[in-house]
Amino acid sequence: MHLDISIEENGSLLSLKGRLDALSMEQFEQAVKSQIEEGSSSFTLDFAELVYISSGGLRVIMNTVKILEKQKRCLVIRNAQPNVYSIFMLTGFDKFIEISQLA
Amino acid sequence: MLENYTWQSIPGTSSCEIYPLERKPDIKSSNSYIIRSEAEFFIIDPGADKEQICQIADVMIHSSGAKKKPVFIILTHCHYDHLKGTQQLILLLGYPCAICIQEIGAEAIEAGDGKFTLSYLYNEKLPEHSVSIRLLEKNDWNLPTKRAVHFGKNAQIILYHEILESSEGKQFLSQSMSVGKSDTIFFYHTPGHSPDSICIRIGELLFSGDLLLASNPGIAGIPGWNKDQLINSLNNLEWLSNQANIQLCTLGHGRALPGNKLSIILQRTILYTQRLDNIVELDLDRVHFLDDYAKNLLDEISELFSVISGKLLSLSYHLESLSEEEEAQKILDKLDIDAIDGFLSEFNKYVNEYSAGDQQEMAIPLKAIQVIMKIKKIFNDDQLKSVINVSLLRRVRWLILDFLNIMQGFREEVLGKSENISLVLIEYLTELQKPVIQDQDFMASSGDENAFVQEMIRRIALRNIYENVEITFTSMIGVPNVYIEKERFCDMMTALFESIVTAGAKRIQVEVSQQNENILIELKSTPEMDFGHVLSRKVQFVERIFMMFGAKLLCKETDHNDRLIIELLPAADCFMVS
Repeated sequence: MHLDISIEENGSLLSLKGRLDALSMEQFEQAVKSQIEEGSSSFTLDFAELVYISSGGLRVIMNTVKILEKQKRCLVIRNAQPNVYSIFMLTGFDKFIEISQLA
Repeated sequence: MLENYTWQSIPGTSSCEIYPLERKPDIKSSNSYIIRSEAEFFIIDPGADKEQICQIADVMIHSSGAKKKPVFIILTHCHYDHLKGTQQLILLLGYPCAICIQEIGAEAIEAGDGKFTLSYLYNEKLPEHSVSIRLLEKNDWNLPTKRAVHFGKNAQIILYHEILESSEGKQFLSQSMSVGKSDTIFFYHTPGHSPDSICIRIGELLFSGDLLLASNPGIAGIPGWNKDQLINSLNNLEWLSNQANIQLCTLGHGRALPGNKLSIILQRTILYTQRLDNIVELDLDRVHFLDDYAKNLLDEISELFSVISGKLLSLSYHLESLSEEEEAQKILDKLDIDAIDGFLSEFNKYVNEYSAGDQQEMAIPLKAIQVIMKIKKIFNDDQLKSVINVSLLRRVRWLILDFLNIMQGFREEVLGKSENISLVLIEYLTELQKPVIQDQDFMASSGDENAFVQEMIRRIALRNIYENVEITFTSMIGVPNVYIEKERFCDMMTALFESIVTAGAKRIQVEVSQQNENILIELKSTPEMDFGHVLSRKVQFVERIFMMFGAKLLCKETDHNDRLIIELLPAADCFMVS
């Protein structure tokens, strides 16, 4: 998976490209950890080029949500491709994460 | 057991030794074995891996008596993964070797037959081979009990034949030649995996080639595979293993089996093989189909497991936020999410690596089998029924079953019956919109702490995504019956509905009509959507499943809106499974 980090007005933007699964989870976790340590107040994940998210990927997203909630920071997902968006809706993740679809 | 990459005595012989080169099972190359006696060398199946060939040559060159003793390269059968490296090995050794193979195999490789040697699966042309010694010929059944074979410049061996009769009364041909001062090597004709397959015995060591693997998915149905011959051969081998005190049985792929396990494994393999009827032959078209199918299927299974795991994670999150940490953990314990994710990621990585490099046909489907079998072992849908919608669990089960059946060589067929599609859809749509959890059940449970927690779990877990979606149904009267397997068909409809609802549909219209002879199920949504885009990667897979019912899936664009159409044939026109 390819991961770009940039800083936006309202926090960190992580753009994921490829697959978030068992092989790339650790890379994602490290990136989030580094941004938290740098004091980022909110996180936006751009999924425009993320083609698949596995159960492991969902787990790291959930762990990230829990960590950020404790610190009163928020996580938003934008531009999810239809199949990825569908997974978030079917699993009920949309109840605790703000997520939007790719237009 | 055999110790790899080292010389060791062969039990039951006076002075023979073996050097095994056993590898992790793969499609690329078979195992190889070097045998030495006081008077000769035998190499059983050189294999197809360059490194392995170099290793064999190196061991031979450094072995005492090298270049002075004759070398016999014995092929258990003519498949490419067992013989590809033969010529390279002879070149590296630098002196002639006698290639020995059963008569039918000799004909195949001397004719350069890409089909029976399976070199077509490796996209390669079979190199030229000249066979020195044809074993177990048809004429040997009739000739006197021995035959002299001349080979090379002035060399000769004597082959002794015997017709053996197993306990089932089946006769099979056995042949032997002297080894060293006082040992003997035996060859047995055991067709089934291929017409020329043989087993080899020296002392208490048996080499079975691919015989015990011959019924595996992706192997049964290859050109030359024959179910009846295979069963006979397996029975004969079982009889032989009891007669000859076999201590160890080597396989073409994977580690050797202890002799005391051989009988039970053979019996299991026989029972399994007996159930293989109407296997489709594994020609190149089918291999391409399986390659495509395996990738599609693993994509679909990956998504389903993401959904199942995500539901469990989501449920555990809600329980944790309600301070039910223990219940939250119990939910996560119902499925080893990380293990399944690992298996599926492993497959995806494999596909990418093989797409980038040399591709051996069947590599992907065979890898997919491995992954599916691992998942099947740990996926316990009984544990999950209380918290995951049964339709979702059923879809996973169907996918696994379909895949293994198709890989096995069974045709894609459904055991359906003639159904009134309108009645099927009315029943299905009513069930779809029924609330899973009744409010009164939830309220009634509040007096019992444990019951309340369990009801709460079900309420969160089995939330119905259709509760705020309006679904309407209309049907033309007098539409002919269709041929479907109701449960499978409805599960596929669920797959479509889930995609449409999660894409934001607030209203879905379902309409049944007849056009010419075909029955149409038309889906329209509000707001309108591009169904091709909504279904995206699923389309190919869903199309394939509907094809099993003789149905077509069409995404049609019209002036007014987009529609999804499922076109079915009337039951009277469908292929009926007897």
